[in-house]
Amino acid sequence: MRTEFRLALLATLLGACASVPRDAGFAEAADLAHERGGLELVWRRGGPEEAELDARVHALLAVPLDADGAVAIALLQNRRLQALYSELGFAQAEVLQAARIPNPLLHLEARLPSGGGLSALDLGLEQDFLSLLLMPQKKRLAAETFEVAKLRVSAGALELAAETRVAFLRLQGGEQRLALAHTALEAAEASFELAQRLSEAGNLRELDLALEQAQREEARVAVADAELATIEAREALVAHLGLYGTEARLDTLAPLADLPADDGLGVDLEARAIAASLTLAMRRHEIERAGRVLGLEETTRFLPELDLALAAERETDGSWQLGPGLGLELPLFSQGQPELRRAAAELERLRATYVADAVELRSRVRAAAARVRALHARASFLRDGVLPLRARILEELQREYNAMQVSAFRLLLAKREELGAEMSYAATLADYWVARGGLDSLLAGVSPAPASARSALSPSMGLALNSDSH
Amino acid sequence: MAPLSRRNLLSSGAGLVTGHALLAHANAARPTLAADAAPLPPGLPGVDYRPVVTPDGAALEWQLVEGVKVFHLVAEPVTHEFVPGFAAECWGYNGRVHGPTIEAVEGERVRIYVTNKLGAPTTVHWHGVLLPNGMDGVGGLTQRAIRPGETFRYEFTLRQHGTFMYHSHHDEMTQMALGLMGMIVVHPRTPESAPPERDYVYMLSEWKVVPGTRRPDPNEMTDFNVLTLNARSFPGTEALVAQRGERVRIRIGNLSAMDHHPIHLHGYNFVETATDGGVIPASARRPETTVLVPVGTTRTIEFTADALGDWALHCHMTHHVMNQMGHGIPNTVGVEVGDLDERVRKLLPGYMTMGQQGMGEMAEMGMANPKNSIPMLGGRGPFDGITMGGMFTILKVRERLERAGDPGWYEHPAGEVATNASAEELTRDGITVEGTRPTTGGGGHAHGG
Repeated sequence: MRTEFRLALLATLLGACASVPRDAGFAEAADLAHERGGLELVWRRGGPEEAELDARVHALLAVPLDADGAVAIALLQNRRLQALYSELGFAQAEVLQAARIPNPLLHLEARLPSGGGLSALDLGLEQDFLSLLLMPQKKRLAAETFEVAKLRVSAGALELAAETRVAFLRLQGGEQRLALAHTALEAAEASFELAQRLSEAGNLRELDLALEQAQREEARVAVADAELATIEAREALVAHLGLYGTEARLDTLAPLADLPADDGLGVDLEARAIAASLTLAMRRHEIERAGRVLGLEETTRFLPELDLALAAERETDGSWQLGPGLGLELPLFSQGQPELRRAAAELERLRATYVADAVELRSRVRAAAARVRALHARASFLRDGVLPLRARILEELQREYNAMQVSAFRLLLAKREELGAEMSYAATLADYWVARGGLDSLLAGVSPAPASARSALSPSMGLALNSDSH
Repeated sequence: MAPLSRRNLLSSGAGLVTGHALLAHANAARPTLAADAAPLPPGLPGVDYRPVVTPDGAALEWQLVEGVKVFHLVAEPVTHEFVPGFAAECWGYNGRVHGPTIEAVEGERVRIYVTNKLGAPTTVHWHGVLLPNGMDGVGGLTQRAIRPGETFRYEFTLRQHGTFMYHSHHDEMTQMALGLMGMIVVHPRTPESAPPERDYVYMLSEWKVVPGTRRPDPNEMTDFNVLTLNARSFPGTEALVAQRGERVRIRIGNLSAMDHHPIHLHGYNFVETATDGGVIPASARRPETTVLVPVGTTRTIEFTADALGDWALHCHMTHHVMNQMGHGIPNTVGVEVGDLDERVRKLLPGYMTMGQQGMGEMAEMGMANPKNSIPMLGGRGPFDGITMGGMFTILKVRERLERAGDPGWYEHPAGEVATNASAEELTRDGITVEGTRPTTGGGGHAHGG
């Protein structure tokens, strides 16, 4: 009879095993990442396909890199992401553990030398019985943990993609700024050289020569600043890409994408972000899990944030309160009052945190949308207003110069002013795409950490608007 | 209309004695007609005088009404062209800048109506003309200003002959800077024994028109950039013409804001015969090649056109023969630019360093300039570019003038044009030339032309 019972247990165990996929849920996590962000997740676990994956990275690096290419490389090469995939293994182990009876045989055997009678065996059976009773509960708890692990993998990949995009845009913007700073330096150098030549001919005061030289030196400093910023941006990107050595040079980047005609903002942004949020999804599984510890069913039914239209208003009306009193309704086989109190407190904490997360997410979505809107407007103004005007001013000054109304120095200064406007536009364009990426991430369900790389907008240009660094 | 002509008057017995008494002093410096004397009958062109020519200008029309010559000046905004391609919003009279030349005859009575179509009050002062104080046209002092829309009447008897001017005498700085001025020529009542075949009249003036704008700036005090003969700048000035042997008279008035102008005529010496104060006695005249025309005066010169050719006539102040050039730019004369221009052109495709060898090439470059401006404009001569603008014109003396208008460029007799010396000539005369490169600056080869 016991053998039969154990067989039954094994069958149950096997059944539990069958519910855990062979890839530990990776395919599901990958599907979600694909659905949300169009990502192709690859779990590199050694084996013959490694060479082919390396070749893919090489191929991506062989052409001017764009943001999608950078993301693809990061997904293939970033080992921190690969490390995250391993968490699926831990969760899988928990599921397996939950489906196992805790050492009943050993228990029985321990009882045998005492010459004990049936009562000892009964006790052992009783323990097994309790474990058996608890098994579905434990399995459900493990399943929730497993769901959270899968979501964490999807979220991790999406966040890595988003951060990679930001790092890529920062480098793109930085390189553009560096190129413009170089051109501005050329203009300053030409101006200084002209001053030198005037000075050599005996036509210029020392004061004017020094003024021109000072401008040249300042232009050099600007180039040095831009160079450092570009190096830092490149390193940030390379780290995300998981590259090192010669592959980390990233010589050629595709140019920044043009500013789209409209700001690209969709509708129902807050609702979509709430619905998509993987963080909130994870929280819900944690709440389910905590509720199951207390023997509660459908603990998440009354979570206000699920009612997307009303969520924001619900947060303070107390309609879904879960007090300690709930613990009083616990089933008989629960594990004692201290445990219950702890579990109830945990549930409370999780639910409060859930609402806090949701409220903060809404705020982040609004802020992200406002930033996208503002940067689009700023970039449009620069592109359609300032840049054409700068070009026209330069053209008119060239005429004035031809007419001997202004000096070559003024003309070259105007060129630098035009370059300054172009720098401002390039920085704003990069910031716009970063902001778009940030909003897209929120709508894809993840909230990547604020970009560590500085905004491309240089404070020295007096253009601190919406800069990340401010 | 059957006006009395001088001849009628002379042949009519009555007034004969008076007439002779007057005419006896026709060329004296003092007025010939007493202030309280009755006016003489109006003089007529072709009968009593040979009309003057105002190059690029016109004569004010008149009519005779009961023995009075009646003129009508209308002060109004005028879009005026200084040179083809360069115009400005000025103030003028009767649609012209400057106003048409008022031509009259000594002794006659004139009545000049002045209508103000400006937005500001104005007056007209008859500069140099002897007249009753109340007709002097000084705003506030001798009359109240003519308000916009009003028409005032000025009326007086011309008691002298000579070259005079008229101009606004209200808010003078503004109104004269915008162009409110014109010339007055009063012919002598006594027919001159040999009136000049060519009688030209010029008004000199100066303006500040910032390149790229289209309105003179009356606030300018020193930096004038448009210098004009009858409100035109070279190459927009009409040439003077004369046939060989003709007597030529040039009357020049100056109402520039701040500058006197030494007007120089090439190829001749001449005599200054009169000012706006009257005829200069023969004993006081001396030969000249340049006549200084101070602000607020007129000068009249005469000569016989006995030298064929195209002779320059211009203000001798060198900045007065430039057009709108700026003066606040660094001096690049003698600067070696090397390959700098090439590198700057990568940033500014239209760039070149200018002026290392002076301004001479500028007129030739044809570079883009601010719209409605003539900063580097010179004229095109028969040999080369003429590097002058502004207060510059040409006296063209020909053996015969077949028709009115510009006779074209002078055709020089063979061997009478300076040209490249041949090696044989240099050898013959013992001239040794070492090298041909410029000795200052050098390297200024950016000016391909």
